[in-house]
Amino acid sequence: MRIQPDGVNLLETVSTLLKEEILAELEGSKAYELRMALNAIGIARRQLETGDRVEETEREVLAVMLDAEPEDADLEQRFARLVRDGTVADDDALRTLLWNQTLNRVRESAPRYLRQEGLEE
Amino acid sequence: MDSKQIDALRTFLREQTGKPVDISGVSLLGGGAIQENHALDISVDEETIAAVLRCDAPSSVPDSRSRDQEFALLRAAFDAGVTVPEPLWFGDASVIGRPFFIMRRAQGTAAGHRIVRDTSLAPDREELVRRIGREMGHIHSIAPPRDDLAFLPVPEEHPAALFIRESREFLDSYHSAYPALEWGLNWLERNMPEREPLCLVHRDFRTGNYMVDESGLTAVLDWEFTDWSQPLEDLGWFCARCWRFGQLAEDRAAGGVGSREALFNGYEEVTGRRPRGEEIYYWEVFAHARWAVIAVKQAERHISGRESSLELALTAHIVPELELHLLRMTGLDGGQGAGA
Repeated sequence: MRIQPDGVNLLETVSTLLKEEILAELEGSKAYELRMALNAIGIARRQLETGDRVEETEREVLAVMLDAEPEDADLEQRFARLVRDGTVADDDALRTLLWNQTLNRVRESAPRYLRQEGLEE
Repeated sequence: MDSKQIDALRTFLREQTGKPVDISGVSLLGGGAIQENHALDISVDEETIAAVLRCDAPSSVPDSRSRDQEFALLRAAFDAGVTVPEPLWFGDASVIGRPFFIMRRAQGTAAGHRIVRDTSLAPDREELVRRIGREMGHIHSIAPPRDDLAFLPVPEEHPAALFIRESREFLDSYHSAYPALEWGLNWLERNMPEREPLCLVHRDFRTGNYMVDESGLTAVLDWEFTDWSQPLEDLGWFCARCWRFGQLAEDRAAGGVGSREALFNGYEEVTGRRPRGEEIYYWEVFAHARWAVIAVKQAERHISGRESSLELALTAHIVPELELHLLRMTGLDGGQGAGA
Protein backbone atom coordinates (compact mmCIF):
# COMPACT_ATOMS: atom_id res chain seq x y z
CA MET A 1 0.00 0.00 0.00
CA ARG A 2 1.26 3.43 -0.90
CA ILE A 3 2.15 5.95 1.77
CA GLN A 4 -0.61 8.49 2.34
CA PRO A 5 -1.28 11.21 1.33
CA ASP A 6 -1.49 9.94 -2.24
CA GLY A 7 -0.61 11.78 -5.45
CA VAL A 8 -4.05 13.35 -5.84
CA ASN A 9 -3.94 14.72 -2.32
CA LEU A 10 -0.41 16.08 -2.84
CA LEU A 11 -1.39 17.83 -6.05
CA GLU A 12 -4.42 19.36 -4.33
CA THR A 13 -2.22 20.58 -1.49
CA VAL A 14 0.33 22.06 -3.89
CA SER A 15 -2.46 23.81 -5.80
CA THR A 16 -3.86 25.33 -2.63
CA LEU A 17 -0.43 26.53 -1.55
CA LEU A 18 0.33 28.11 -4.91
CA LYS A 19 -3.10 29.69 -5.24
CA GLU A 20 -3.44 31.03 -1.72
CA GLU A 21 0.15 31.86 -0.78
CA ILE A 22 2.11 32.54 -3.96
CA LEU A 23 -0.27 33.81 -6.63
CA ALA A 24 -1.15 36.97 -4.73
CA GLU A 25 2.55 37.87 -4.60
CA LEU A 26 2.92 37.79 -8.38
CA GLU A 27 1.74 40.00 -11.18
CA GLY A 28 1.94 40.26 -14.94
CA SER A 29 3.55 37.44 -16.86
CA LYS A 30 4.65 35.58 -13.70
CA ALA A 31 1.07 35.47 -12.40
CA TYR A 32 -0.07 34.25 -15.82
CA GLU A 33 2.54 31.51 -15.81
CA LEU A 34 1.49 30.38 -12.35
CA ARG A 35 -2.15 30.24 -13.45
CA MET A 36 -1.08 28.04 -16.35
CA ALA A 37 0.80 25.79 -13.92
CA LEU A 38 -2.28 25.55 -11.68
CA ASN A 39 -4.38 24.63 -14.69
CA ALA A 40 -1.91 21.88 -15.62
CA ILE A 41 -1.86 20.55 -12.07
CA GLY A 42 -5.66 20.47 -12.08
CA ILE A 43 -5.75 18.44 -15.29
CA ALA A 44 -3.13 16.03 -13.99
CA ARG A 45 -5.04 15.61 -10.70
CA ARG A 46 -8.32 14.85 -12.51
CA GLN A 47 -6.59 12.35 -14.77
CA LEU A 48 -5.10 10.62 -11.72
CA GLU A 49 -8.50 10.50 -10.04
CA THR A 50 -10.18 9.04 -13.12
CA GLY A 51 -7.41 6.64 -13.98
CA ASP A 52 -7.87 4.50 -17.08
CA ARG A 53 -11.38 3.36 -16.15
CA VAL A 54 -13.34 5.77 -18.38
CA GLU A 55 -11.13 5.26 -21.41
CA GLU A 56 -11.24 1.48 -21.03
CA THR A 57 -15.02 1.53 -20.86
CA GLU A 58 -15.20 3.77 -23.94
CA ARG A 59 -12.96 1.41 -25.89
CA GLU A 60 -14.99 -1.62 -24.85
CA VAL A 61 -18.24 0.01 -26.01
CA LEU A 62 -16.62 1.22 -29.21
CA ALA A 63 -15.19 -2.20 -29.94
CA VAL A 64 -18.62 -3.80 -29.62
CA MET A 65 -20.17 -1.22 -31.94
CA LEU A 66 -17.43 -1.50 -34.53
CA ASP A 67 -17.12 -5.27 -34.28
CA ALA A 68 -13.49 -4.88 -33.23
CA GLU A 69 -11.24 -5.53 -30.25
CA PRO A 70 -10.77 -2.94 -27.47
CA GLU A 71 -7.00 -3.11 -27.86
CA ASP A 72 -7.07 -2.37 -31.61
CA ALA A 73 -4.73 0.57 -32.17
CA ASP A 74 -6.88 2.18 -34.85
CA LEU A 75 -10.19 2.03 -32.97
CA GLU A 76 -10.49 5.80 -32.60
CA GLN A 77 -9.47 6.39 -36.21
CA ARG A 78 -12.17 3.99 -37.37
CA PHE A 79 -14.74 5.80 -35.27
CA ALA A 80 -13.61 9.13 -36.74
CA ARG A 81 -14.01 7.72 -40.26
CA LEU A 82 -17.56 6.65 -39.42
CA VAL A 83 -18.29 10.19 -38.33
CA ARG A 84 -16.86 11.56 -41.55
CA ASP A 85 -18.79 9.20 -43.82
CA GLY A 86 -22.07 10.03 -42.07
CA THR A 87 -22.67 6.66 -40.38
CA VAL A 88 -22.62 8.15 -36.89
CA ALA A 89 -25.16 10.83 -37.82
CA ASP A 90 -27.70 8.10 -38.60
CA ASP A 91 -27.04 5.92 -35.56
CA ASP A 92 -28.45 6.85 -32.13
CA ALA A 93 -26.02 4.69 -30.19
CA LEU A 94 -22.94 6.01 -32.01
CA ARG A 95 -24.13 9.58 -31.61
CA THR A 96 -24.55 9.02 -27.90
CA LEU A 97 -21.09 7.51 -27.76
CA LEU A 98 -19.63 10.54 -29.56
CA TRP A 99 -21.33 12.87 -27.10
CA ASN A 100 -20.26 10.91 -24.02
CA GLN A 101 -16.69 10.52 -25.24
CA THR A 102 -16.38 14.27 -25.82
CA LEU A 103 -18.02 15.02 -22.48
CA ASN A 104 -15.54 12.77 -20.68
CA ARG A 105 -12.62 14.61 -22.26
CA VAL A 106 -14.04 17.95 -21.14
CA ARG A 107 -14.51 16.63 -17.59
CA GLU A 108 -10.76 16.18 -17.38
CA SER A 109 -9.56 19.15 -19.43
CA ALA A 110 -12.07 21.94 -18.79
CA PRO A 111 -14.81 21.08 -16.27
CA ARG A 112 -15.52 24.79 -15.85
CA TYR A 113 -17.16 24.73 -19.30
CA LEU A 114 -19.66 22.14 -18.06
CA ARG A 115 -20.57 24.27 -15.06
CA GLN A 116 -20.81 27.47 -17.14
CA GLU A 117 -23.15 25.80 -19.59
CA GLY A 118 -25.26 24.09 -16.93
CA LEU A 119 -24.33 20.65 -18.22
CA GLU A 120 -23.08 19.57 -14.80
CA GLU A 121 -23.12 20.99 -11.29
CA MET B 1 19.61 43.50 -29.00
CA ASP B 2 23.33 43.88 -28.42
CA SER B 3 25.39 47.01 -29.06
CA LYS B 4 26.66 45.75 -32.44
CA GLN B 5 23.09 45.25 -33.66
CA ILE B 6 22.10 48.70 -32.42
CA ASP B 7 25.09 50.24 -34.24
CA ALA B 8 24.15 48.38 -37.42
CA LEU B 9 20.57 49.52 -37.05
CA ARG B 10 21.68 53.14 -36.62
CA THR B 11 23.72 52.92 -39.82
CA PHE B 12 20.78 51.35 -41.66
CA LEU B 13 18.38 54.07 -40.52
CA ARG B 14 20.87 56.78 -41.46
CA GLU B 15 20.96 55.31 -44.98
CA GLN B 16 17.18 55.06 -45.11
CA THR B 17 16.47 58.59 -43.90
CA GLY B 18 19.56 60.41 -45.16
CA LYS B 19 19.74 62.13 -41.78
CA PRO B 20 21.58 61.70 -38.49
CA VAL B 21 19.87 59.06 -36.33
CA ASP B 22 20.11 58.18 -32.66
CA ILE B 23 18.61 55.13 -30.98
CA SER B 24 17.75 54.89 -27.29
CA GLY B 25 15.53 53.06 -24.83
CA VAL B 26 15.89 49.63 -26.43
CA SER B 27 14.04 46.94 -24.46
CA LEU B 28 12.58 43.54 -25.27
CA LEU B 29 8.79 43.45 -25.00
CA GLY B 30 7.18 40.27 -23.63
CA GLY B 31 4.75 37.89 -25.22
CA GLY B 32 6.35 36.80 -28.46
CA ALA B 33 7.07 33.09 -28.90
CA ILE B 34 7.40 33.27 -32.67
CA GLN B 35 8.48 36.90 -33.05
CA GLU B 36 10.48 39.23 -30.89
CA ASN B 37 9.33 42.79 -30.35
CA HIS B 38 11.77 45.43 -29.14
CA ALA B 39 10.67 48.88 -28.01
CA LEU B 40 13.03 51.66 -29.05
CA ASP B 41 13.09 55.41 -29.49
CA ILE B 42 14.50 56.68 -32.79
CA SER B 43 15.62 60.29 -33.03
CA VAL B 44 15.75 61.64 -36.57
CA ASP B 45 16.57 65.33 -36.82
CA GLU B 46 14.23 67.01 -34.34
CA GLU B 47 11.70 64.18 -34.19
CA THR B 48 11.74 61.25 -31.76
CA ILE B 49 9.73 58.27 -32.94
CA ALA B 50 8.42 55.82 -30.35
CA ALA B 51 8.82 52.61 -32.30
CA VAL B 52 8.79 48.82 -32.18
CA LEU B 53 11.28 46.62 -34.03
CA ARG B 54 9.77 43.24 -34.87
CA CYS B 55 11.97 40.31 -35.90
CA ASP B 56 11.89 36.52 -35.87
CA ALA B 57 12.52 34.86 -32.52
CA PRO B 58 15.31 32.26 -32.53
CA SER B 59 12.67 29.47 -32.38
CA SER B 60 10.48 30.91 -35.11
CA VAL B 61 8.23 28.39 -36.89
CA PRO B 62 8.57 28.17 -40.66
CA ASP B 63 4.86 28.41 -41.48
CA SER B 64 4.32 31.85 -39.96
CA ARG B 65 4.39 34.88 -42.28
CA SER B 66 7.81 36.32 -42.98
CA ARG B 67 8.61 39.80 -41.76
CA ASP B 68 8.61 41.32 -45.25
CA GLN B 69 5.16 39.82 -45.85
CA GLU B 70 3.89 41.13 -42.53
CA PHE B 71 5.33 44.54 -43.39
CA ALA B 72 3.47 44.51 -46.73
CA LEU B 73 0.23 43.53 -45.01
CA LEU B 74 0.60 46.30 -42.47
CA ARG B 75 1.30 48.79 -45.27
CA ALA B 76 -1.79 47.66 -47.21
CA ALA B 77 -3.97 47.86 -44.10
CA PHE B 78 -2.57 51.25 -43.11
CA ASP B 79 -3.22 52.63 -46.58
CA ALA B 80 -6.78 51.27 -46.47
CA GLY B 81 -7.50 53.21 -43.30
CA VAL B 82 -7.17 50.40 -40.78
CA THR B 83 -5.86 51.45 -37.37
CA VAL B 84 -2.49 49.72 -37.36
CA PRO B 85 0.91 50.88 -36.18
CA GLU B 86 2.37 52.77 -39.13
CA PRO B 87 4.98 50.55 -40.82
CA LEU B 88 8.17 52.57 -41.30
CA TRP B 89 11.17 50.55 -42.50
CA PHE B 90 11.94 46.96 -43.47
CA GLY B 91 15.44 45.52 -43.22
CA ASP B 92 16.80 42.16 -44.35
CA ALA B 93 19.01 39.80 -42.36
CA SER B 94 22.20 41.59 -43.43
CA VAL B 95 21.50 44.38 -40.93
CA ILE B 96 20.99 42.72 -37.52
CA GLY B 97 21.19 39.03 -38.45
CA ARG B 98 17.45 38.50 -38.84
CA PRO B 99 14.84 40.13 -41.08
CA PHE B 100 12.95 42.85 -39.24
CA PHE B 101 10.70 45.81 -39.65
CA ILE B 102 10.12 48.93 -37.63
CA MET B 103 6.69 50.40 -36.94
CA ARG B 104 5.35 53.15 -34.76
CA ARG B 105 4.57 52.05 -31.20
CA ALA B 106 0.87 51.93 -30.29
CA GLN B 107 -0.25 52.84 -26.80
CA GLY B 108 -2.39 50.73 -24.51
CA THR B 109 -2.80 47.06 -23.80
CA ALA B 110 -3.86 44.01 -25.79
CA ALA B 111 -4.37 41.69 -22.77
CA GLY B 112 -7.74 40.08 -23.47
CA HIS B 113 -8.60 39.14 -19.88
CA ARG B 114 -7.93 42.72 -18.81
CA ILE B 115 -9.79 44.35 -21.68
CA VAL B 116 -13.02 42.45 -21.06
CA ARG B 117 -13.06 43.35 -17.35
CA ASP B 118 -11.38 46.74 -17.02
CA THR B 119 -13.89 49.28 -18.24
CA SER B 120 -11.47 52.16 -17.65
CA LEU B 121 -10.08 50.98 -20.99
CA ALA B 122 -12.30 52.10 -23.86
CA PRO B 123 -15.15 52.82 -21.42
CA ASP B 124 -17.81 53.11 -24.14
CA ARG B 125 -17.91 49.42 -25.00
CA GLU B 126 -20.58 49.67 -27.66
CA GLU B 127 -18.52 52.35 -29.42
CA LEU B 128 -15.42 50.12 -29.16
CA VAL B 129 -17.24 47.26 -30.85
CA ARG B 130 -18.76 49.54 -33.48
CA ARG B 131 -15.26 50.83 -34.20
CA ILE B 132 -14.03 47.24 -34.57
CA GLY B 133 -16.82 46.63 -37.08
CA ARG B 134 -15.62 49.64 -39.04
CA GLU B 135 -12.01 48.39 -38.90
CA MET B 136 -13.12 45.05 -40.34
CA GLY B 137 -14.94 46.89 -43.10
CA HIS B 138 -11.76 48.74 -44.03
CA ILE B 139 -9.77 45.48 -44.08
CA HIS B 140 -12.36 43.85 -46.31
CA SER B 141 -12.16 46.74 -48.79
CA ILE B 142 -8.83 45.23 -49.92
CA ALA B 143 -9.42 42.71 -52.70
CA PRO B 144 -7.26 40.62 -55.02
CA PRO B 145 -5.39 40.88 -57.26
CA ARG B 146 -2.76 43.02 -55.57
CA ASP B 147 0.86 43.10 -56.67
CA ASP B 148 2.00 44.12 -53.19
CA LEU B 149 0.22 41.08 -51.69
CA ALA B 150 1.14 38.60 -54.41
CA PHE B 151 2.59 36.27 -51.75
CA LEU B 152 -0.96 35.49 -50.60
CA PRO B 153 -2.24 32.59 -52.70
CA VAL B 154 -5.66 33.18 -54.24
CA PRO B 155 -7.74 30.09 -53.41
CA GLU B 156 -9.55 28.49 -56.32
CA GLU B 157 -12.05 26.70 -54.11
CA HIS B 158 -14.35 28.13 -51.45
CA PRO B 159 -12.13 29.13 -48.49
CA ALA B 160 -14.31 27.07 -46.14
CA ALA B 161 -14.00 24.05 -48.44
CA LEU B 162 -10.24 24.58 -48.51
CA PHE B 163 -10.14 24.59 -44.71
CA ILE B 164 -12.25 21.43 -44.49
CA ARG B 165 -10.12 19.60 -47.05
CA GLU B 166 -6.82 20.61 -45.47
CA SER B 167 -8.11 19.79 -41.98
CA ARG B 168 -9.15 16.30 -43.05
CA GLU B 169 -5.79 15.74 -44.72
CA PHE B 170 -4.09 16.81 -41.53
CA LEU B 171 -6.29 14.60 -39.34
CA ASP B 172 -5.65 11.63 -41.65
CA SER B 173 -1.93 12.06 -41.11
CA TYR B 174 -2.07 12.75 -37.37
CA HIS B 175 -1.44 10.17 -34.65
CA SER B 176 -4.66 10.88 -32.73
CA ALA B 177 -8.28 10.95 -33.88
CA TYR B 178 -10.78 13.73 -33.23
CA PRO B 179 -14.25 12.33 -33.98
CA ALA B 180 -16.13 15.37 -32.65
CA LEU B 181 -14.03 17.67 -34.79
CA GLU B 182 -14.87 15.46 -37.77
CA TRP B 183 -18.54 15.96 -36.91
CA GLY B 184 -18.05 19.72 -36.98
CA LEU B 185 -16.26 19.56 -40.35
CA ASN B 186 -19.19 17.59 -41.78
CA TRP B 187 -21.62 20.26 -40.61
CA LEU B 188 -19.47 22.98 -42.15
CA GLU B 189 -19.40 21.09 -45.43
CA ARG B 190 -23.16 20.59 -45.54
CA ASN B 191 -24.07 24.10 -44.48
CA MET B 192 -21.50 26.02 -46.50
CA PRO B 193 -22.79 29.39 -47.75
CA GLU B 194 -22.45 30.52 -51.35
CA ARG B 195 -18.98 31.69 -52.22
CA GLU B 196 -18.61 35.47 -52.17
CA PRO B 197 -15.90 37.55 -53.84
CA LEU B 198 -12.63 37.20 -52.00
CA CYS B 199 -11.25 39.99 -49.84
CA LEU B 200 -8.47 40.44 -47.34
CA VAL B 201 -9.48 38.78 -44.06
CA HIS B 202 -7.46 39.24 -40.89
CA ARG B 203 -8.37 35.70 -39.71
CA ASP B 204 -7.32 36.31 -36.10
CA PHE B 205 -9.24 39.49 -35.27
CA ARG B 206 -10.30 38.85 -31.70
CA THR B 207 -10.02 40.35 -28.26
CA GLY B 208 -6.36 39.94 -27.36
CA ASN B 209 -5.21 40.96 -30.83
CA TYR B 210 -6.08 44.64 -30.71
CA MET B 211 -4.85 47.35 -28.38
CA VAL B 212 -6.95 49.78 -26.40
CA ASP B 213 -6.26 52.58 -23.98
CA GLU B 214 -8.54 54.95 -22.09
CA SER B 215 -9.52 56.63 -25.35
CA GLY B 216 -10.50 53.47 -27.22
CA LEU B 217 -8.92 51.29 -29.89
CA THR B 218 -5.33 52.17 -30.75
CA ALA B 219 -4.16 49.33 -33.02
CA VAL B 220 -5.16 46.10 -34.74
CA LEU B 221 -2.35 43.59 -34.26
CA ASP B 222 -1.12 40.13 -35.29
CA TRP B 223 -1.51 39.83 -39.05
CA GLU B 224 0.18 36.44 -39.28
CA PHE B 225 -2.90 34.50 -40.40
CA THR B 226 -4.18 37.14 -42.83
CA ASP B 227 -5.30 35.75 -46.17
CA TRP B 228 -7.82 36.07 -48.98
CA SER B 229 -11.07 34.65 -47.68
CA GLN B 230 -14.74 35.38 -47.02
CA PRO B 231 -15.50 38.62 -45.19
CA LEU B 232 -17.90 37.19 -42.63
CA GLU B 233 -15.16 34.88 -41.35
CA ASP B 234 -13.71 37.79 -39.37
CA LEU B 235 -17.06 38.63 -37.78
CA GLY B 236 -17.67 35.01 -36.81
CA TRP B 237 -14.19 34.66 -35.34
CA PHE B 238 -14.68 37.82 -33.29
CA CYS B 239 -18.06 36.68 -31.91
CA ALA B 240 -17.18 33.02 -31.31
CA ARG B 241 -17.70 31.90 -27.73
CA CYS B 242 -14.14 30.65 -27.51
CA TRP B 243 -12.80 34.21 -27.88
CA ARG B 244 -14.98 35.98 -25.32
CA PHE B 245 -12.71 35.42 -22.33
CA GLY B 246 -15.51 34.03 -20.20
CA GLN B 247 -17.97 36.86 -20.95
CA LEU B 248 -20.96 34.82 -22.04
CA ALA B 249 -23.85 37.30 -21.76
CA GLU B 250 -25.56 38.04 -25.06
CA ASP B 251 -24.78 41.75 -24.79
CA ARG B 252 -21.09 40.78 -24.71
CA ALA B 253 -21.29 38.37 -27.63
CA ALA B 254 -18.91 40.46 -29.72
CA GLY B 255 -15.47 39.64 -28.36
CA GLY B 256 -16.65 39.60 -24.75
CA VAL B 257 -16.86 43.39 -24.83
CA GLY B 258 -20.04 44.49 -26.63
CA SER B 259 -23.08 43.49 -28.62
CA ARG B 260 -23.31 41.92 -32.03
CA GLU B 261 -25.63 44.78 -33.02
CA ALA B 262 -22.92 47.36 -32.41
CA LEU B 263 -20.39 45.30 -34.36
CA PHE B 264 -22.79 44.92 -37.28
CA ASN B 265 -23.65 48.64 -37.14
CA GLY B 266 -19.99 49.58 -37.51
CA TYR B 267 -19.49 47.08 -40.30
CA GLU B 268 -22.51 48.40 -42.16
CA GLU B 269 -21.29 51.99 -41.81
CA VAL B 270 -18.20 51.19 -43.88
CA THR B 271 -19.35 48.43 -46.21
CA GLY B 272 -23.06 49.16 -46.62
CA ARG B 273 -23.68 45.51 -45.80
CA ARG B 274 -25.75 44.49 -42.79
CA PRO B 275 -24.57 41.06 -41.62
CA ARG B 276 -27.35 38.72 -40.54
CA GLY B 277 -27.07 36.64 -37.39
CA GLU B 278 -27.66 33.35 -39.21
CA GLU B 279 -24.84 34.17 -41.65
CA ILE B 280 -22.46 34.81 -38.77
CA TYR B 281 -23.53 31.59 -37.03
CA TYR B 282 -21.89 29.52 -39.75
CA TRP B 283 -18.63 31.38 -39.26
CA GLU B 284 -18.83 31.02 -35.48
CA VAL B 285 -19.03 27.25 -35.94
CA PHE B 286 -16.16 27.57 -38.41
CA ALA B 287 -14.17 29.53 -35.80
CA HIS B 288 -14.49 26.74 -33.23
CA ALA B 289 -13.41 24.11 -35.75
CA ARG B 290 -10.53 26.20 -37.05
CA TRP B 291 -9.28 27.07 -33.55
CA ALA B 292 -9.48 23.38 -32.62
CA VAL B 293 -7.30 22.40 -35.60
CA ILE B 294 -4.81 25.17 -34.82
CA ALA B 295 -4.74 24.08 -31.16
CA VAL B 296 -3.99 20.46 -32.11
CA LYS B 297 -1.13 21.66 -34.31
CA GLN B 298 0.26 23.99 -31.67
CA ALA B 299 0.12 21.29 -29.01
CA GLU B 300 1.98 18.93 -31.33
CA ARG B 301 4.97 21.28 -31.19
CA HIS B 302 5.23 20.35 -27.49
CA ILE B 303 4.13 16.71 -27.78
CA SER B 304 6.71 15.99 -30.49
CA GLY B 305 9.49 17.31 -28.26
CA ARG B 306 10.41 20.06 -30.73
CA GLU B 307 9.53 22.82 -28.31
CA SER B 308 8.92 22.17 -24.62
CA SER B 309 6.29 24.69 -23.50
CA LEU B 310 3.59 24.57 -20.85
CA GLU B 311 1.50 27.02 -22.86
CA LEU B 312 1.65 24.81 -25.95
CA ALA B 313 1.00 21.70 -23.83
CA LEU B 314 -2.15 23.23 -22.35
CA THR B 315 -3.38 24.15 -25.81
CA ALA B 316 -4.14 20.44 -26.32
CA HIS B 317 -6.58 20.63 -23.43
CA ILE B 318 -8.55 23.45 -25.05
CA VAL B 319 -9.62 21.08 -27.83
CA PRO B 320 -12.23 19.01 -25.93
CA GLU B 321 -14.14 22.13 -24.89
CA LEU B 322 -14.09 23.39 -28.47
CA GLU B 323 -15.26 19.99 -29.71
CA LEU B 324 -18.13 19.79 -27.22
CA HIS B 325 -19.25 23.28 -28.15
CA LEU B 326 -19.04 22.32 -31.82
CA LEU B 327 -21.33 19.36 -31.17
CA ARG B 328 -23.83 21.56 -29.36
CA MET B 329 -23.77 24.24 -32.06
CA THR B 330 -24.40 21.67 -34.77
CA GLY B 331 -27.37 19.86 -33.31
CA LEU B 332 -25.79 17.16 -31.19
CA ASP B 333 -26.65 18.13 -27.64
CA GLY B 334 -26.81 15.24 -25.20
CA GLY B 335 -26.19 12.75 -27.95
CA GLN B 336 -29.71 12.89 -29.36
CA GLY B 337 -29.52 15.69 -31.91
CA ALA B 338 -30.08 15.68 -35.62
CA GLY B 339 -27.43 14.35 -37.96
CA ALA B 340 -24.61 16.68 -38.92
